Amino acid sequence: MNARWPVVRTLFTYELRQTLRDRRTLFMSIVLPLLVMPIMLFGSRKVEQVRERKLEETTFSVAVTGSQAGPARAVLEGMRARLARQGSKPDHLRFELVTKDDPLKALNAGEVNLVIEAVSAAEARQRAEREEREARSKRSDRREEGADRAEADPVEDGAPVLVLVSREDQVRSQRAAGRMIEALRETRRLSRGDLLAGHGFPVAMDKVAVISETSLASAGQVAGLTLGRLLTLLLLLFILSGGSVVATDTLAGEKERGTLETLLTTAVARGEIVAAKFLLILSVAIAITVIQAVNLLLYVGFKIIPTSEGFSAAVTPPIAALVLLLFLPVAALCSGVLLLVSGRAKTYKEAQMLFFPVFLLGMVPAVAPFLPGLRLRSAIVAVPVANIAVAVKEVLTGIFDWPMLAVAFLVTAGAAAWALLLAARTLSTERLITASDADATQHFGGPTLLGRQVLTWFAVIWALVLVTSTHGAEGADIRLQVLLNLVLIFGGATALIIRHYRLDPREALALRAPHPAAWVATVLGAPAALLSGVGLFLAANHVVPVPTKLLESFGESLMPDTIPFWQMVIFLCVMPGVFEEMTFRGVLLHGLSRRFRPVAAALAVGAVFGLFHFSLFRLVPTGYLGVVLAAVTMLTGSIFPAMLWHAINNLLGLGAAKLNVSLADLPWTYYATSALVLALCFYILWRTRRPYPGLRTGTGRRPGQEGR
Amino acid sequence: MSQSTVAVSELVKVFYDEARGEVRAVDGISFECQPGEIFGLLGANGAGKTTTLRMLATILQPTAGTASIMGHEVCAEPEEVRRSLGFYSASTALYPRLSARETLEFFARINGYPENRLAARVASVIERFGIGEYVQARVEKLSQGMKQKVSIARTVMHDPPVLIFDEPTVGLDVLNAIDMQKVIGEFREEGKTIVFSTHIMSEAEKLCDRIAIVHRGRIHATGTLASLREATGCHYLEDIFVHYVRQAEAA
Amino acid sequence: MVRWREVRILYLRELRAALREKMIVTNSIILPIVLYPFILWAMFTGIMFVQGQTEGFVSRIVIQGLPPAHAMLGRQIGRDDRIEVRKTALTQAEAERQIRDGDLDALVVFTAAPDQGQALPDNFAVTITSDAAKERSAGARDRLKGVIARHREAWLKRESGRLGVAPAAWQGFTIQERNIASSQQMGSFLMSLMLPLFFVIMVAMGCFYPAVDSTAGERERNTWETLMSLAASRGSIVTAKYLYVATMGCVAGLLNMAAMALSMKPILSPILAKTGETLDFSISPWAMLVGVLGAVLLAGFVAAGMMIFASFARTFKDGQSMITPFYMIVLMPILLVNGQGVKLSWAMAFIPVGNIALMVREALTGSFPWPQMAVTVVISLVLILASLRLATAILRFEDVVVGSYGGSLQRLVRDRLLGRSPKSTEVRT
Repeated sequence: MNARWPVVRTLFTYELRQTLRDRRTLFMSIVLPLLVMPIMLFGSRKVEQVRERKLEETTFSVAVTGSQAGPARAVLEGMRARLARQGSKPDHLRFELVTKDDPLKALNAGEVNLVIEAVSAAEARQRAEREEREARSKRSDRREEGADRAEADPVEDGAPVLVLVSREDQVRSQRAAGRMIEALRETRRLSRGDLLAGHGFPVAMDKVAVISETSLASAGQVAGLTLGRLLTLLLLLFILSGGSVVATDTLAGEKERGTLETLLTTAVARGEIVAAKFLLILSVAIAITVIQAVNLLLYVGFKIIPTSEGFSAAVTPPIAALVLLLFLPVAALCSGVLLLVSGRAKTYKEAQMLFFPVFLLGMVPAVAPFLPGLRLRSAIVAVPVANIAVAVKEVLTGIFDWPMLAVAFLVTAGAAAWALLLAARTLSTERLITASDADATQHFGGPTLLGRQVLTWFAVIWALVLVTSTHGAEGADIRLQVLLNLVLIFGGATALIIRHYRLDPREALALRAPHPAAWVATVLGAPAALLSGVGLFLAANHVVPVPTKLLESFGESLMPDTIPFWQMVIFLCVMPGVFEEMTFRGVLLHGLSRRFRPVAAALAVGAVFGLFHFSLFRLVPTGYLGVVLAAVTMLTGSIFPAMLWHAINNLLGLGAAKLNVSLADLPWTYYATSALVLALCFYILWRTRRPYPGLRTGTGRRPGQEGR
Repeated sequence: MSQSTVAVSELVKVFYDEARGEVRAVDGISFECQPGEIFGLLGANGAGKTTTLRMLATILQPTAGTASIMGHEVCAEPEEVRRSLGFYSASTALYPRLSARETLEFFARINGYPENRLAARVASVIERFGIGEYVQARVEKLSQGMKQKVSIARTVMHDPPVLIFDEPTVGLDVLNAIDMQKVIGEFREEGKTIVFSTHIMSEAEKLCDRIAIVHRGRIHATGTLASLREATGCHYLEDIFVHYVRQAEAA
Repeated sequence: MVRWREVRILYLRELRAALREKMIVTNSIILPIVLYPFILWAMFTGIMFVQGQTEGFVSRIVIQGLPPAHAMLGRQIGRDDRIEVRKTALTQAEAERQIRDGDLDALVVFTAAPDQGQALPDNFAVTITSDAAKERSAGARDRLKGVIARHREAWLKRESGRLGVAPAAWQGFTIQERNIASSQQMGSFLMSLMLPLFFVIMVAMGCFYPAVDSTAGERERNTWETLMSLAASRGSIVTAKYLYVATMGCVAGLLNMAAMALSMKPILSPILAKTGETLDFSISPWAMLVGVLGAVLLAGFVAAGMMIFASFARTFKDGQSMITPFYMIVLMPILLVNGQGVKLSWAMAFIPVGNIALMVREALTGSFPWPQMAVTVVISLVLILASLRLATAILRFEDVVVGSYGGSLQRLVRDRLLGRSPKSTEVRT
């Protein structure tokens, strides 16, 4: 990309001049949010604090009932006396004991905040047994052992059991219960101390097994932890929202106004145009960053935002400078991406629509510092933005891993450069240069429109499945669920899409006969893919620690054992094989293959397929399967091998669960062999491949058309 | 001088449209132009005139064929081509928030006009086109006629030898259109090569030295008005045009 | 003059055109349905993932000086499979360095108890060294504190027994908790925490784009003049547009509420499965009615405000930037009332926008404070009427309606409505 600096500088100067003259947009869309957001947040915090204080000062009304009400009241009165002796601190518990005929009704009506049912140990045990029986009859034994069980207060004969009954949906009641528990525990601790002292215990109770802590982190570094987690996220939020205003205008807006064409007819090279616009967006991004930083410092400096003590220690000038330096490539990458998106849009409105997903996706890497134990010196250093986010967290918590900081900086800067290159290419892509009046596809509709809209359809279907998947699901027959999801929703959606876009079902669903060898490859490949997938993730586990649940979910099948096996085969292997393939490797692949190149299309289909299995831990193995199935469909030109593959895959998983074989615990030779077998199967498929019509190749020529 | 300033040979442009498939917008166009002449491309909407001119201006890349401006090939030396060219189209707009003067300065600069002579050049252009009165005003506040003047001015700021006008009078009122035609004529007198496209017969008759009839991406006839009259036996350009179009359709 | 037949025709046309406009459909229909459930899902899945990671981490610790009398403690720590005890000999300095580098999570050093404590045989003091700025280290510290504290409790209990304290006396009392809120109430409570905020945002978002599009957008597309040349009266045109924008906002808000209510359960159920609770996220019919009322009032006000601001814009982009401040004004009260446990009190009922959000929230939890709700409705209606009055006042000036007024809302109000500037303002030709 050739760029002469004087030309770029001229362009940049004029762009900047024009932007600065659009004072209204600048102010309303960029400066105002920057100033107002912190005020609003701070304001709401302040209000929150006032409310908290009021809550702390409430006198809760407590009703005591039960066979041991007398002793309980004695304890409470004693506690209240003790609290009163300690003087009225702002946060000490205030309560009054009231008598009610029906305390539970009063609690429900809000007349009392807390009811204490004081029962004897025997009564408590009886009740516990009864509840256990009820719970067990209601659902299967899928309950996990909560850690709380071990921590539960022991029940001792002769000691009353105080059951604090509250309404967790009422803030006052919730608070009353919480404070009361604290106070009761404190009372018990004190009385135990007295008991020991009274019986001749040689030392004061609080001198037994004293635990002290030494923290190697300074207060500043602890504060830096919180700050470090949030900083990148906030910065991205502001840069993306503010920068998008300028970015939209500078490319997409210019296309609409026709001034881009004017510029393109001058002696300036495309690369220089891109460089100048990039510098413009970057300047805005940096300006935003600086304004935010100043904002933050002002608020902290004038103590408008209350912060923990270590805060100012965390943000010393050299550290602030380092953090700013680290953020530069992030600003550059954001600017590059914004420019790229604006370049791909033909009108202002289209650019805004494209920005939305970019926004959401852009925030994801900034979440990296929230993952505990994630160090810069790991695979994360290769992920742009995420690496800087983690780096900033480390810097603010006192870790200076200079080589890794440099690598992170370079990786992100490299990503920014790449985004710029792509942006430059959009200026050479002719159909993007001028705002064409109307998209031809919108007029003609039909299959060509599907490519644009298919993802939106699937987003809506996703929401639908999300809603129906667990409504009424507890206890509902798994077969009914399968019928609803697979047949009604997936099947219905597929039929609807085919009808709406006037698709040819044979084309859209790839209902063709594959090469005979494909069947062989399928039967061999399905188990191979399953095992090698597990092996792949086990291997990846060594590089990037993967949660064990993720590994376990491979081949996991969450089926109850109440229905006969042959029915499980039908509902969990055959039907998904048919309906899910029709939907994902049928319509979805058909639509996406027109927009993306084969590899990208397969990955996209896999990703969408994975997302439809809502638990995070099933996302990856399902996505992997999705990609494989998409590849199989594209290679064989037919959907039937994929259906069989899917069914076999599910069957194996089911079988493994039934026989209690864990697929994640096999010797490594199994995985290696299966990888080889899988490679062989794909080789067979490649050699015997049949065309998948409509597939995009690099030159934009369609192979399927030659035959016509 | 027989050295053509604009030489186009078998230029082809194929678009790939998702719905319609291959579209050959320009299907083998050839022509040459000399300095001091106005060469007109006459055709209906969608005939391929704009696409041809865009290829000359290096906005689009030819699928096949060659074109050169002042000896520079459009594919090989796009920047030199653009430096020798002034492109004016109804859709090439001005920057709304720059003043007229700033606009002229900007275009002179980025087209490589030497900095030391810039101020003088700007002054002379302002005077020539009579924009002195509103030279400080922002473009967005100018009337249509004023914008048009500034547009033409910026096209020739860097004194290019070749000028391309793509349907320049579209949307202009009568008086402004006449003004535009007058200015184009003046450019011809200065020895510039002008390639001009239009679908308005009277304009082509008035202005062009040679006319090319363009239909469906091909040139079906080229020549002076006189030679075309002789070849077809029609007098009015309109009839001449229809004659060739009919001939093309029948083929 | 507003002729309702004309209004109906124009209104239907606007709606029909809107439903064909990709961006409006996306912002007002698809996004409310899909986006917030998706965000919720992503958030909860993310939180669960992070928590899983935190809990999943094994704490690497080194123990020094464990008194033989308390070998039980060492065994307990060893048995906990979330703690890995490293059997290496390290100096204090080395251990601290490893902790700082993140290779070790905590160092536990047992020493003899200080002076007064020595009276008790086998007493000890323990120091836990960790790095509070590292999540793993802080987690290790908390785990160790927990284990040691439990050991201490057990020890004290044994000692008390030895000294003749009865177990019942030592226990004193047992604390248990019970929540009698029904699953319906808990569900409503959770919903009420988030829904009102999203509700207001969605209504505002639903109004935003149509408001800009039907004013500035029309000017940009040059269809404004076509509209002005119709036989319909100016009043009818403006009324139709207003109703259209309000409809879109209302629809967006209601769709979002429905989508959120329906999607809370599947999203939260993995979390709930752990605690064994079930939650019920249904909305009672009365609450739905209140929700609809709230949507109508809110959309009515927001639409009026946005249209007033946008009518001064000539291009889409200008329209957007002009509306942004109003957007923020609408959102501000929400941040004030969004805290937990805020009720629709008399004071709150007078806060615009905020009162509607609170009204909806209360309705979700099954509480209907009729007097305060009435005040809310009245205040909202007053606001709507005031905005409409302002709009009509502005639209008296033909140049604003025609779109040739070159200034901004502030200037118009100052010059014409308040009559500060003696001369008429310049009008662009």
